[in-house]
Amino acid sequence: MLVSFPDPLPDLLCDEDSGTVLSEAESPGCSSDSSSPAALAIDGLLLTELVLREKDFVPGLEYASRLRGGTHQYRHQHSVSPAAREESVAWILKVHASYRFQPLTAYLSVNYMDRFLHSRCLPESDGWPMQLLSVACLSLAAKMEEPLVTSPFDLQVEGAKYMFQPRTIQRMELLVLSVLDWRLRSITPFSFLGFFALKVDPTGTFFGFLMSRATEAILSNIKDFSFLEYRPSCIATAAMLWAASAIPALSVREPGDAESWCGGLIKEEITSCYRSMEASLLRNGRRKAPKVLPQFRVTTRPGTRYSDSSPSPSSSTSSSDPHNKRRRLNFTSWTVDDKGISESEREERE
Amino acid sequence: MRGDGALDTDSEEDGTSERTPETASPPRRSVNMLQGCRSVDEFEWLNKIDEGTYGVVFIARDKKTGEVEALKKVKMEKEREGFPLTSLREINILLSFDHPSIVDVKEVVVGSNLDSIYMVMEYMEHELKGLMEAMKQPFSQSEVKCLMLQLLEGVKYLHDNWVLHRDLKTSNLLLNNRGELKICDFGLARRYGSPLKPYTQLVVTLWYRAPELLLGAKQYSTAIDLWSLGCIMAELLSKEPLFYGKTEFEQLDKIFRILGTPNETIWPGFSKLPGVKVNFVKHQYNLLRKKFSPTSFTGSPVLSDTGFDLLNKLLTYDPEKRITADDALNHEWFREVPHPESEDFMPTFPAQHDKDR
Repeated sequence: MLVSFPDPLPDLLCDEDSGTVLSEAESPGCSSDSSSPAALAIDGLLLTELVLREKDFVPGLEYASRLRGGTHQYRHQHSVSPAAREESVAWILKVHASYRFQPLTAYLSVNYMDRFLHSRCLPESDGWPMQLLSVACLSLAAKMEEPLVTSPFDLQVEGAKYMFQPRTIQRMELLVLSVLDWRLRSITPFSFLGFFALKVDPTGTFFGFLMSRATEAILSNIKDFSFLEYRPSCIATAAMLWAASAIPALSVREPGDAESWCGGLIKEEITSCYRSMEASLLRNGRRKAPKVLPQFRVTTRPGTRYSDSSPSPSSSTSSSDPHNKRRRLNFTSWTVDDKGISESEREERE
Repeated sequence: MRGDGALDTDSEEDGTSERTPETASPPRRSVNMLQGCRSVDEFEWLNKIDEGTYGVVFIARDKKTGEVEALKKVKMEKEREGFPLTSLREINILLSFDHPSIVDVKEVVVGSNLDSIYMVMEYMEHELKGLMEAMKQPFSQSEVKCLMLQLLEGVKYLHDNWVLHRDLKTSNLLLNNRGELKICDFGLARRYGSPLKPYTQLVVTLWYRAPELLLGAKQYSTAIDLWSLGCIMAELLSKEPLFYGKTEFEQLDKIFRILGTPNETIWPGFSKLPGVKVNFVKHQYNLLRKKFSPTSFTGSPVLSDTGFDLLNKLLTYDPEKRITADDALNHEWFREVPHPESEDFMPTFPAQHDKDR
């Protein structure tokens, strides 16, 4: 389990309320939803329409199988390598956490990236183009969702391997926009979460808790491309079932029973998605200390130390990067050379 | 650095591209990087019609279809910001919407220099603000009903789709010679329930802004758009903006002078709003009825008691009690004589843009 689930539940709820990031009205949503229980009273039609349209916003099964089979052949096909994708997602999540963006922003970034890679090939799938694509996708997602927007240039932190000129990023944004046909208001699992929270808990008593826990489950699995096989509504269902499993009174014995939550859900898919999610969450939970999501990082300030033994979020994620060296190179690259690739970067690329 | 290589294929344009060892390849010819987008060269320029806050609008004919369209240029001035946020949100909202009262974005096209991007929208002859300035007489009650019905339908559609417009005003309402009204300019539109961003730094007219926004409420909702509709309804009837303040304080003062200064009784929570620290003059009475007369002959614009009831419900201080778009559409005023004019019989006007600008 990702967060250690506290016995006195109200504590956790209270923490969220205590002022910072994920207040109820602002919790992750999408183009066509809202997340307060009251606002979700009308569902039926909207839900059906979301299900009908969700497939327009996912990369398609062929992309997932390309990733699965692609490990050894991607170089020839100019396809995408799972490792490169995973690295990009990890970087997006790091920047996302350091700017304390909303969960939906991270999800959308990865969604744009996958949809782009589904229809376009990058010249070399694990070098700077992937990095440029990640910056552009994160920037577009932040512009769509964040109340305070960071300039794309300033998103190039957290061990970004290359620094790009604003002009280059702008062009990449345009390329992404045109490949995605300008449609950024994706239907994501977050579009469904609020509705499903009320399915497991019609009174709305645990709404905030269910939303955060399901959100966490979704975010912690975006790195894993195998979830691309499931539709957003199915991922949302599995995540909500996972969230509810922490509250005995609400937990559902058979994941397949959630099929009735809305039209278009399929028993077998829910069960299989739930099993993989559960397995991966338990695995992650065992392997490392609870990962702290941006909205819970309220008390974590750079430089402050955790009192317990768990590593801080940043140190746990950047183990492989010669972080400081990169940072320094980046710095020279944009101050010294504002036209082309700096010498230092070039060296690094060879 | 510049991410040159296959992504950046119009390198002739600036001539500064550098190739890196890995991506060195035969120089590419300039091909349209944005393959999904048509080029603006497929349009024949006719006229420049407007230079609003968010960009310039041109009229152009699609060479392929012969249709006349409005092309709104996306301002790309702040390179550091990348693709501008307001346009990004506007394009995405408009592309996903389909309603007769919402302006239709048909596609996005690019200029030969990739820095220019245009939204192709249906061409509408008039902007309501300019039209009213040119009119000698205000709209009649039946005409106002026809316009308000379309406006309310559009706003209901937005709210049903979890979008707040946030900047409804007469210059954002378009009218064509078929009597159709359409809402445009979604640069400030936001998903309902989204975190708030103060937008005082933007040049936005205050005249249509709801009192809860002027007073710095942390939470706001669909009711802000309905307040704007109240202001617009009054303006359609009288051809004059109802509250025209230059500063937020002045705007509130104008509102309070006409509607009376609100208090905790009529608007629970009022006294706790951040902006209420300022001491406002206590105006006791609601003088709105004086602006409109139930019968003609007085010289002031005519509005029946039923119509006045709707106006009052739109201009209700407490956002919780303010009428919703849905309820407003079912208001008695729209069923009362004189009936709403049908769109086909709405007056037509010479296009403002024919006069060269």
